[in-house]
Amino acid sequence: MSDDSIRDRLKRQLARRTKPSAESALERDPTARRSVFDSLGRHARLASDEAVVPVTASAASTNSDDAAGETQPIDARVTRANHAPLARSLGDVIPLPVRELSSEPPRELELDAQGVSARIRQFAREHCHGSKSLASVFDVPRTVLAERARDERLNQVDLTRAVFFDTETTGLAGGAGTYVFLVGLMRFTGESFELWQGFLPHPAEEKNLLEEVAARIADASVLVSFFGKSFDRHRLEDKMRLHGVTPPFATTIHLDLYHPLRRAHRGRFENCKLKTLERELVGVVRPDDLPGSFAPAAWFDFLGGRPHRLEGVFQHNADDVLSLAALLCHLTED
Amino acid sequence: MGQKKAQNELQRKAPERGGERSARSRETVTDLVDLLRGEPRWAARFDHWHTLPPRAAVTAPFPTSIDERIVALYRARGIVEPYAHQARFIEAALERKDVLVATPTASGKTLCYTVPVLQSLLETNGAARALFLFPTKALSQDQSAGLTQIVEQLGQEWHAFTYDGDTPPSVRRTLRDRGHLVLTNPWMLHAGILPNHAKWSELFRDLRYIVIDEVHTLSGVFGSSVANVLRRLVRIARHYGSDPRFLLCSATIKDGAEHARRLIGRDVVVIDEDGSPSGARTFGVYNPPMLNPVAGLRANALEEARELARAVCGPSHQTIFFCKRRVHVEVLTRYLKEGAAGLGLKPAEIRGYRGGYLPLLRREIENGLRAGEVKVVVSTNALELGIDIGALDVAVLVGYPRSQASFWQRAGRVGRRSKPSLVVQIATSDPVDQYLARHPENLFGASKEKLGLDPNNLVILSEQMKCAAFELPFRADARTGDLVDASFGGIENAPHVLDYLAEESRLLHKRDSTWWWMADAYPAADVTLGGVDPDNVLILDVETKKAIAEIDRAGSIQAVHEGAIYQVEGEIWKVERFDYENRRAYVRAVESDYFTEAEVDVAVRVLRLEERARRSRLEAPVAHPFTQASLDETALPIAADPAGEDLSVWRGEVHVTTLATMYKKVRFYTRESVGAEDIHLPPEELDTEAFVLTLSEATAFDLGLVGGDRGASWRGVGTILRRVAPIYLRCQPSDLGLSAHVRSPHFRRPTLILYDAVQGGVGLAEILFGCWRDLCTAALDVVAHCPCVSGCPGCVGPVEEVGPLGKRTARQVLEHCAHGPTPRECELAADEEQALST
Repeated sequence: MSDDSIRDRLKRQLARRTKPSAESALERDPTARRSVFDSLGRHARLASDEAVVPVTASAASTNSDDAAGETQPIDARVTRANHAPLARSLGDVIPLPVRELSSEPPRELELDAQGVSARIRQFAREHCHGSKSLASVFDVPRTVLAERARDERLNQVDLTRAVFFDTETTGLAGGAGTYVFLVGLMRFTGESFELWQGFLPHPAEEKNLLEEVAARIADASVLVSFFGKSFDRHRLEDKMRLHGVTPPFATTIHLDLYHPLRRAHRGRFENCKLKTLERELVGVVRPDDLPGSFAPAAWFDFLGGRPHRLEGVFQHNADDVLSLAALLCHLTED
Repeated sequence: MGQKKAQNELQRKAPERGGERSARSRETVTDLVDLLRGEPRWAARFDHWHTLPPRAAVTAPFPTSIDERIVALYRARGIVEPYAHQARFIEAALERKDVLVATPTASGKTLCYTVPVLQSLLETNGAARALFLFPTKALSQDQSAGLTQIVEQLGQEWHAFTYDGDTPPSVRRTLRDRGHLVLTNPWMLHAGILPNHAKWSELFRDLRYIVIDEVHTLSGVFGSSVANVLRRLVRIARHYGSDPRFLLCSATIKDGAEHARRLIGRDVVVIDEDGSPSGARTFGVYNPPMLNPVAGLRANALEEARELARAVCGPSHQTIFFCKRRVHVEVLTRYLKEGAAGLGLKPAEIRGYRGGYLPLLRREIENGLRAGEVKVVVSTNALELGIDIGALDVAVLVGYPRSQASFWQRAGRVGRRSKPSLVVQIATSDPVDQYLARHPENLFGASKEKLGLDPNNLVILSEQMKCAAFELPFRADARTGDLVDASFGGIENAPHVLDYLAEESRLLHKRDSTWWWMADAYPAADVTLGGVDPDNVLILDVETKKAIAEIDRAGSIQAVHEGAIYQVEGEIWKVERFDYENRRAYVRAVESDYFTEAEVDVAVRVLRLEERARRSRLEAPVAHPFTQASLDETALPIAADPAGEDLSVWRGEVHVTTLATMYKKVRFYTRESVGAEDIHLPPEELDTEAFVLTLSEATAFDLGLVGGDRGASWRGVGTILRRVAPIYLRCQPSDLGLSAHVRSPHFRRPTLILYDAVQGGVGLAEILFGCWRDLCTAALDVVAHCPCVSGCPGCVGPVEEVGPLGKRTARQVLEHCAHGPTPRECELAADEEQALST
């Protein structure tokens, strides 16, 4: 068969699987739609091993001033992402623009010594995020922290060597085809707080990025995240195992702020997302945040030669990481 | 009452003391056969007897390289030397060859693959890994228990575990990292393991063997999908540095080498000479007595099975009944339990068994069978596959199981090493059963069905490559453009599929001859494998709130609609509410003297026509004018236009609705109907592609499609076309649906519709549109060479189904379609579009 006829056949046959017929079950009977989603939900549960509870910081999407921002609750988004109707998925997913491809990194991005694309920003000790200065992290009473986080190892931990981390990924479903394309890691250098944002300019660079991330995390006395034990850690760990990079998580203390904060504040606010807690507890409001749910499309656009939304993802990720420090301080207050 | 009467009639050995049980405690299978052949009451009902002679065991020593500990382990289990086929299998596996063993049930296939797997673990000090695929959850749980026991006996710390939808998420992580032997099913591999392969890196790092049991169940659309899942599996294993071998097991099949090659894409060593011993096996074909010779009505097969039980069940041997429907399993189990005393048995020694029973209950019954405590089991095809229940003595098949492979699998359930065994096939009033009762040589002599498999089906291939691209990027040679890939490399269309997925579907991103997954989606969740939907409906007791059973979704509309009587091993429940959406049926324990049987309607509606080819009567004069017409000119209903239409074929889309319409309440024992009610459930729907053949009324008349039997003969044409389709489509007949009308509401003339029985279709109808003339020629060849006089299940269907003229008429139609000029492509006419909108 010639290339053209193959393509024609694929077009015709796959289009049939995409296009709803004149009177498909879904259109005629809305209950049928629910049952199709039900069955897919079950497949997705089968498929994803760790409970990917859809409350990750990077996925919060409330109170967005972004005109194009989607305001539907995160649960609905997850439904859409994971549960495209059976056999109708080809051509139904976020389209990549067909343009001349470019992988120019966004502005201010540098290659570091290891050949990893990263943006490095310095924040002074006195830098305030919401109501907290970054340096107040050092005043956190460790006994209270250990007790509230229910981890005795935190009694001994050196908080000047803590690493705060958050990732941006191309989806919440997980699996080998989900990329971690931005990893924000903040640490104290003795002078100031350094935010290192490792970036994936192309999937082929994945292993380099992961090796650098693993080395930086292995250096930490404690890894601080929000919902990272359930999400970010596994996305990174999966990718590291895929590339034969030894994951650093088993040997690193991991403080996931989501759990102690939820225990302390459950029922007080509308939910326990990072966005809500940072606003209610430490007064952080982000007027021009790009919702984390836009992150996948922003990166796909970048690969397709349209990097315009990437800056917003970097900023969103930076704000998330800074909020971790502020919330850590709040956690041990009375 | 019927039971009493039967008991009186059946006084063969009057019990001296201790009643029925002690009287029958020394009965052997040979006695049973003598009784059935000798006593007129029974002898009259057996149309045919057939005997297979006993066969001695052929053994061979374990290959010398097998670890002494393994040899000792099997010696302790009483196996000093394996059967010759087992030894050959082990040898080939140790030589790192892919192997297929295709022998009957209970010939020791488990040992074949267990030994090389254990050997690899011992040799590597526990570093090696093996993955096992079973077609059902029950089988993998059964095997996992067996493997765990063996590992314990070897004194090793290895872990064998089942990974399926029932595995609790909390233990999954431990299992992934520490499981040496992982048992799962194709659906779980497809949607759970492969897309998350990084989590399974410990398994893939040193994967030595992929064991696939019951590979004869992997055919058609389902098998073709699974073949691609295996391609994905090999690709991922290679990524982590393993080069696993395939160890395949199957029932005896036609051309196993070819089937295995298509399935795994490599040549395999085929071992199909069975070295296991068996006693003499007697087959009897039982035809229920004629109740009404004028109407051709015979006694109900299920009630006959109950009667026959009085002869073939007893305390000294084990009997298995195979029923075709789950409700029949329950009805018969109830009958036998109620009549247990008359069989010399306790009710607890009689069990039901079918898919849907909860795992613990199933384990209990299986153990009881192995231990010999359960004397009678009534089952569906759930016991047809390789669940270990030991060898039994008597099998009663209530109805022919629709395929030769199934028939022999069921028959293979009986026959211990040296003891004689008995298989009784009870014919139902189904035309196929009746034909086989009259022509039993077809039962014992007919060749096995050929299994169809087409892993390169364009639609299946692209859906599966989409999943594969999510798992690992695809690379092509920059110079030649050829795909560089362990699994998909040699496939001609693969690069085109990837380009399509990149450029049209926008799921992939191509750069530097590499295709990367680039979408926020989890493709395996949207790609079905076909086959039985593993999502079940849970059946809950409203009082205890506990699950009493589960049932597959397709079967649920017939079994747990509101008002249905649902039975588990003779206990009776009535369905109060069926929450179809959430897959829950709520039942309450009741007393009932009736059971329910539901009826299902399948309707096919044409949605859209895309292509058409036609020829006129001028081009194709009818080859065999119908002689009757010339005798009675006035009977010609149509003023035949000599330039009018002869026939047309079409390609298009159809909507198929399967609806449970009503149910009957049927009284136990008497089978009298005590009422009927409607079922209110949403229909199961399918949008798919179809191939359509229509004849003009004039041509149909000329070909003899007239009179009372025309619908049956026309359907016969469809039946044979559907049956030979796998020759050209490499599918299973069940992958195609058939709808036959002598006057379809859409086309208003004789119409045959063959459609892909999978949501969305996989291109079978399109291939049919291209090769339907070859198909007619092949069908004609089958019909012309079939020795039957007026139709049989091997060609157009038995005469009871197609009528006395059915075969002749069908042959004329096929000749007409296969001969003459090829119909020409033409525009779809305007009036056809109109017909659509009405």
